[in-house]
Amino acid sequence: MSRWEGLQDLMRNWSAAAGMAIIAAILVVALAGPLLTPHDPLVPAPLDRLQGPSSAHPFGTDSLGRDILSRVIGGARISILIGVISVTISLLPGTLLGLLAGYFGRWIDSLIMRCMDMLLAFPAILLAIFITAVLEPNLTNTMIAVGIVYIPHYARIVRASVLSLKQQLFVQAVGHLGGSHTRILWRHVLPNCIPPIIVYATLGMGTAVLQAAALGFLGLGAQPPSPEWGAMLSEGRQYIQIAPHVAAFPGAAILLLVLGFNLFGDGLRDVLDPSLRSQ
Amino acid sequence: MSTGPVLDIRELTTRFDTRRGPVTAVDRFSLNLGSGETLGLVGESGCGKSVTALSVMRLLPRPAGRIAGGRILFKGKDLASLPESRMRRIRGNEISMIFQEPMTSLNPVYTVGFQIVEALRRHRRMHRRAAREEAARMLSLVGIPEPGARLNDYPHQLSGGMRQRVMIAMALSCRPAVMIADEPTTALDVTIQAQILDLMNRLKAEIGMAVMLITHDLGVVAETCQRVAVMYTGRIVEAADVRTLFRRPAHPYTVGLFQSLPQIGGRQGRLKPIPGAVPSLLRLPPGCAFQERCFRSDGQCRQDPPWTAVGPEHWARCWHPMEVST
Amino acid sequence: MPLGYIAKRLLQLVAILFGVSVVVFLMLRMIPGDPAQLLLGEFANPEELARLRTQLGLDRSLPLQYGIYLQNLLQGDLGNSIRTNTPVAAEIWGRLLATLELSLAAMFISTLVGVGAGVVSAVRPHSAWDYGAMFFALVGVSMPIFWLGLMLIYLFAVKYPVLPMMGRLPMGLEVPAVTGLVMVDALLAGQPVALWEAGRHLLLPALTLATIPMAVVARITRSAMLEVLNKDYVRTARAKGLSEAAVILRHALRNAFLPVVTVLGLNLGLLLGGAVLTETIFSWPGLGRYVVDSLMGRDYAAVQGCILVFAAMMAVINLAVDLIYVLLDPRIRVNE
Repeated sequence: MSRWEGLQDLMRNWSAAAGMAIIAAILVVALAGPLLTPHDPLVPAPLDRLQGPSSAHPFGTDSLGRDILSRVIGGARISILIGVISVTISLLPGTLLGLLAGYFGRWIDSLIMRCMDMLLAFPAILLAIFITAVLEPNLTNTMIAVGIVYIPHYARIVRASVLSLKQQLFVQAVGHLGGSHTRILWRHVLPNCIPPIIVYATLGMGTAVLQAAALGFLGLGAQPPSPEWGAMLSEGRQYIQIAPHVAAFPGAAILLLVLGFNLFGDGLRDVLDPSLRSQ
Repeated sequence: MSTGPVLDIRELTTRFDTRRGPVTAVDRFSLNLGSGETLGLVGESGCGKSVTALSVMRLLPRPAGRIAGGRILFKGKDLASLPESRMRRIRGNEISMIFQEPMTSLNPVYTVGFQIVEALRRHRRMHRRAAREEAARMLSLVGIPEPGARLNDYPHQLSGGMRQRVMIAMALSCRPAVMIADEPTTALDVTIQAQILDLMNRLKAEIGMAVMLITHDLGVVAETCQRVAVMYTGRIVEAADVRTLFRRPAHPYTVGLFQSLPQIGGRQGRLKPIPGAVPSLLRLPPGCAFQERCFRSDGQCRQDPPWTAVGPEHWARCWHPMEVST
Repeated sequence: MPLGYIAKRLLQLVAILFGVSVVVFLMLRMIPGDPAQLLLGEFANPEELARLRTQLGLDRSLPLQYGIYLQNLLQGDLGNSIRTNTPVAAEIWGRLLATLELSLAAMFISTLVGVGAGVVSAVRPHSAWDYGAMFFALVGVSMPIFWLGLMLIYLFAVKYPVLPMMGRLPMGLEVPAVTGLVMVDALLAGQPVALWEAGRHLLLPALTLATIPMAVVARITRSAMLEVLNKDYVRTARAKGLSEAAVILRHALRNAFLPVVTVLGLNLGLLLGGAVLTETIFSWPGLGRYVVDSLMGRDYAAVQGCILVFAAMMAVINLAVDLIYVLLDPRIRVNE
């Protein structure tokens, strides 16, 4: 399958196309943020507290009178950043560990994978909560915590594809021709692991955004006055009885972004790696 | 032996919707099956044998496959237009079917006994205890030792041959008038094949049912059938009693089939495969579908060939059948 | 079921729990600072600190310290909470049952609805129902449940106040605790009003917690059923003249359950994690909320205990899933 055909398949897959459209739209909003925001997302306006949606404030205002639309737009940048950075933090070590475990096998494999099992023995959010709480709750540590939690997932996926690859003749053949381990890993093994990694990383962005927002909601993530969506929800929670719009819009934004990643990831999986479909 | 047809298929046409358009898998198929008779349906894979069987059973994969025309008369009823609920009372009861793959045709999570009892309880309204006894009797009928104990076995504990025996026991448990056997021995070892064929012959006489045996193996046909129909690209191209067909095949395709078979004890000539390949059902030539591979074809073959009587009870769908002297 | 297999799995369980206890033990040692100070908080007096240091054996080698820790653990001693100065083990037990009640309810809802929706989708693939159900399932897996919970509260407790906002029972209503599961206790005590109220209080949190597993189960059920419906034995079942309901429920679904059970097991971790959020939103007095509160209050003894219990629950559930698997699939049952 040529690259061009692959791209065509992707566009024909409505799930991928819809996901891409959502992500692209949010990305544009995130990049153009300051140009789009009608009000400053951080400056309080005590006279405009907790106003419902109106033409001046389409999403209403929060307890400090800040424009929620502007804050949601400001949060888009943070959430996308969280997705990308967290996934990178889990992907790089996870891929490396998976490569080593799968390629060398034996005790290296056992050692690495048992450590991964240990991490997996805890519910993900609990581990993330613990890591942030120990490190001190803030945005950077949220990304680190969410990143660490998902390292084992990448290690497992990469290891599985390395193992199936090892069965195939060509890696063995290269081995017999005397290529160095690094060269074989880098030139022959890694490229073949890329499709499942791409699929999983896309879905993983959604998960990371969700987890980071959950931490923010619990007060363990980004701290006020940051317009991080989870933290906004946490503030909005206190006013749910009198001003539900404060919580409604940032939550809807989280849902939309995560839905975008999931739609795109599902579509990618169907196109790149049909064998993963049942998982 | 035969006393009028028990199954009378007239002009049956079955179509499938595929991505590249509708395909006629069975085309104006007419055939009857006398009670107590064994009829062989022969042809290469993809010629429509199995689809014919699934049409009769009304088990075509939905929603792609459908009966597009014709009638399937069974005991005065037209199965092609019978409501699904009434068809269900016939399936596994008056007409039953066994399949090619004994390894995968039994449900792995239920015992053999459960799966036979299920049919008995459904159609015979038997009590559990009575149904189990009957199931054990069926297992011993198909030659399975210690039938009482085997009832509690799961399919994976049995060999392929044993599983096919279980399938036969299940199919026969309600004493059907017709059994359709779709390549029942293809997946089995040669020695087991012979055993299963023997068993089917014996049980057919015992129960007094008619059998439609679908196979690509002419040897199997010779051993078990009284009559044969040969199919090619969804149509019957020749039909006759076994002896006649084997001695004096009339359709060039049938001739080609025999020539491509190794013959034990026969002349040690080279095998002659039929030249070319089976045309796609999506792109059949006008007229006779075999014309491009046929050594006797000419311009006339672009017209639909007639169903010609070439001898007593011997027909071929051909403009130029082989000379058959009687 | 073979006893040898169970014994082997139980041994593995012990090994996992042992590993988890090591991690939990090291946890406090990895945080910079004096573990005794961490456990007792910054306002502890010197005598107490000294006593705890001796008790933990902080002057001895790390393996020996672990030995002491393990000994206490095996006696059910998880230390004392700095916030309430009561044994952590007792506090955890009561909250564990509240979490269990919530999780069981969510589990029930998600399995029932998820399997049902998945089966109907698989039986009528590419129908309007199928597309609708699968779209909702995708929204479900993308759902920030803390937001969903808040929106449910707004809708059903504020705008149309038909359900309570929080808690397990109305103020003043109590049932004698026998099992710790309020609905079961109400039933045992023969208090229909309490049973009704407990159910009403449980509904929104259970629904919130059930959302993601429900969506995951619906998706996996659909794909498993689609695969199974193409199997030869399903055709055999139809050829027997069985009703469509028997074919789908008895022959197909029973086989499709294998992957579904696996995913359900994997998602229990998700469920336990989700409990943290759900309990916070609905002020449900469970373990999830307790662990967050403990972390905020730097109550490390309580945190250690909770993490240990969570991990143990995950391990036990995984074992249970494997055993159910064996029960469902006779091929594994005999081969082992």
